[in-house]
Amino acid sequence: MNGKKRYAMVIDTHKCFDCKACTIACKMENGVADSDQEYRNWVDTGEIIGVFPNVSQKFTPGQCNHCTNAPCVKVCPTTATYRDENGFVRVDYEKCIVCKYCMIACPYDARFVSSTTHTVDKCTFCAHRVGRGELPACVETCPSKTRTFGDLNDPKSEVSKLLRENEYKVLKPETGAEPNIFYI
Amino acid sequence: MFTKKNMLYISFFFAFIGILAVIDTLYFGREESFNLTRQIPWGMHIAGYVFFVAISTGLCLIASIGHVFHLKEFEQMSKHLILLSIITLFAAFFVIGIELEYPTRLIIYAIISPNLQSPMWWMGTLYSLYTVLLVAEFYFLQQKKFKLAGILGLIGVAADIIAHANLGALFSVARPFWSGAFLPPYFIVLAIQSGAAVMVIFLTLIQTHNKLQLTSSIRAGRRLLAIAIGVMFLFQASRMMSSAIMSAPDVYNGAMTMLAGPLKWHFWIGEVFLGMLLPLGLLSKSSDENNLAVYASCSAIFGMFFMRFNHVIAGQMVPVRDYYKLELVDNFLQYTPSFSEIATIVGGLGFTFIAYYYAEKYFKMEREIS
Repeated sequence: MNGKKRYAMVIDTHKCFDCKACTIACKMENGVADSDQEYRNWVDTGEIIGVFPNVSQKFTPGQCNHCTNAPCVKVCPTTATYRDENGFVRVDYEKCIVCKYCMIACPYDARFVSSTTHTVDKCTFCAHRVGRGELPACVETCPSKTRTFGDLNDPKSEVSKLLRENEYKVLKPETGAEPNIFYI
Repeated sequence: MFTKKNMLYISFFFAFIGILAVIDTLYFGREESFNLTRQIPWGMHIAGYVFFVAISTGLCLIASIGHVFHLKEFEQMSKHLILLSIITLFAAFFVIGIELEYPTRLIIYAIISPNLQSPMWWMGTLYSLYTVLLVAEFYFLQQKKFKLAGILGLIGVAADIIAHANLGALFSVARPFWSGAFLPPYFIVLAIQSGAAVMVIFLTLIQTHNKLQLTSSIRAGRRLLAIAIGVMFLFQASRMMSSAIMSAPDVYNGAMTMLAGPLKWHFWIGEVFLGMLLPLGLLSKSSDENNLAVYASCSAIFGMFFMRFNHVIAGQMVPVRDYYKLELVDNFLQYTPSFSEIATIVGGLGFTFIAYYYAEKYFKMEREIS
C-alpha cells in the first residue's frame, strides 16, 4: 500500500425507494441552482414491471462516475477538467471556457452549465467534505443507506467488502471510461 | 439579381441581424438566448462554425492546388480565393466566439495549461497556425513574391488538411453516431464541396461586376463542385446504409433521426434535395452562357448548412441516459435553434460578403488576375 486512495461509491439499487433526499442534499450542500437543467445527481425511474397487484419498479441513483479513464478529462482543451490526487474528477472554474466538449463526451450526462458559476459544473464527490473526514452529502442523507462511499485501496473499507461479497456492474463499460461507481 | 450592389444591400441587412444577435446574447446571456440544453449542448453555432471553417478550408485547398500544381484555372484567381478563405475563417471565429462563454480564456489557458490529448486543443492550435500561414501567403502574393507564397501555400495546405481532418476526429471521439474512421475524409470532401460552391458564386460576381474574363476558372469550379457532390453522395449513402442496417443502437438511432425522425425534412429536403440532387441537376444543364451554376452553388451551400446542422444535432438527439428514453414520446430529444442562434449565422454570412467587398477594394484587387 502506498497510501494513495481510490475513492469509489457502491450503490445498492434494491434499497432505493426514490425519496430523492440525495438530490436535495446535494443541491443544498453545493449551492446548485433550482433548475430542471442543473443537478449533480439524480434518480432514474425504471419501467413498471408486472401487472397489478404484482408490480415492481427499479430506481437507479446516478451522478458523475469519477472515471479513472475519464473522457471529459481527455477532451478538455485547457485542462480545466482534471483528476485530483484522490481520483476525484473536478472542474477548475477559472480555466473553464464553457466549450461544453466535456458535456458531449461524458457518457453519463453528468455535467451541466451552472447559472451560479457560469461554467460547466458537476459532482465532486463532495471533495470539501471528504477532506474534512466527512461523507458526501448524498451518502450521509440517504435514509435507506443505498449509497456507500469509501476507499477501494483499503481492503477493510465498506466499499471493498461490498464489492467482494456481491455481484456488481458499472454503467457503460464498453466506453472504456473505467467508472468508479459500482451498482449491486 | 446577382449584382454586387444587390448582394451588398442584402449583406448589410444580414450583418444588422447578426449585430442584433450579439446584443441579444450579451444582454440576456447565453442561457437565455440560446435554446441549448444539458442534453443538447452543441447547436446552431457549432454547425455554423464547421460550415464557415469548411468553406475556408475548401477555398484554401483550391487556391493552393492551383499554386502548387500550376493549374491556371485555379491559380489565376488564387489571391482572391485566399482572401475569401481568410475572411470566412474570421466569420467562423466570430460564430464560435459568440458560442463560447470565455473565448479569451481559451487563448490564455491553451498556452499556459494545454491538454495535448484534446482534439479541441489541436483544433485551436492548428487553426491559429493556419490563419498565420494564410495571412502570410496573401501578404507575399500581394508583394508579388510568388515563390515564397507558393511554399507557404504548400505548408498551409498541409496544416489545413490536418486541421480539418482533426475537426472530424473532434466529433468522432465524442458520440457513437459521430464515430468512424471515415469522418476525417468526409470533412475534407465537404470542405472541397463548400469551397467550390463559394468559388463559383464569387467568381461569377467578379466576372460580371469587375468585367474580368474568368470563364475557364468558373468552368473548373463547376466541375469540381459536381465531382465533390458526387463523392459526398456516395459517402452519405454508405454512411446511412451502414448505420441503419447493421450498427449499434446509438448509431442506428442517430441515423434514424435523419432518415425518419425529427430531422427527416432537414435531411431529405435540405441535405439530399437542395444539397445534392438539385445542384447536380442544375450543373448538368449549366454552361458558360447561363447562370445555372450560381443557382446550383447557392442551393448546394444551403444544403451543406443542413448537412452540418444534421450532423451536429443528430449525434446528440439520442439520449445518453435511459431515463430520457422513458420520458420521451418518440425516443428523441428535441432542439429548435433560437432567433439569436440563427441570426449569428446570418450575420456571419453578411460579414463575409461585406468584408470581401471592401477588402477587394482596399487591396486594389478588383481587376487583378494573378
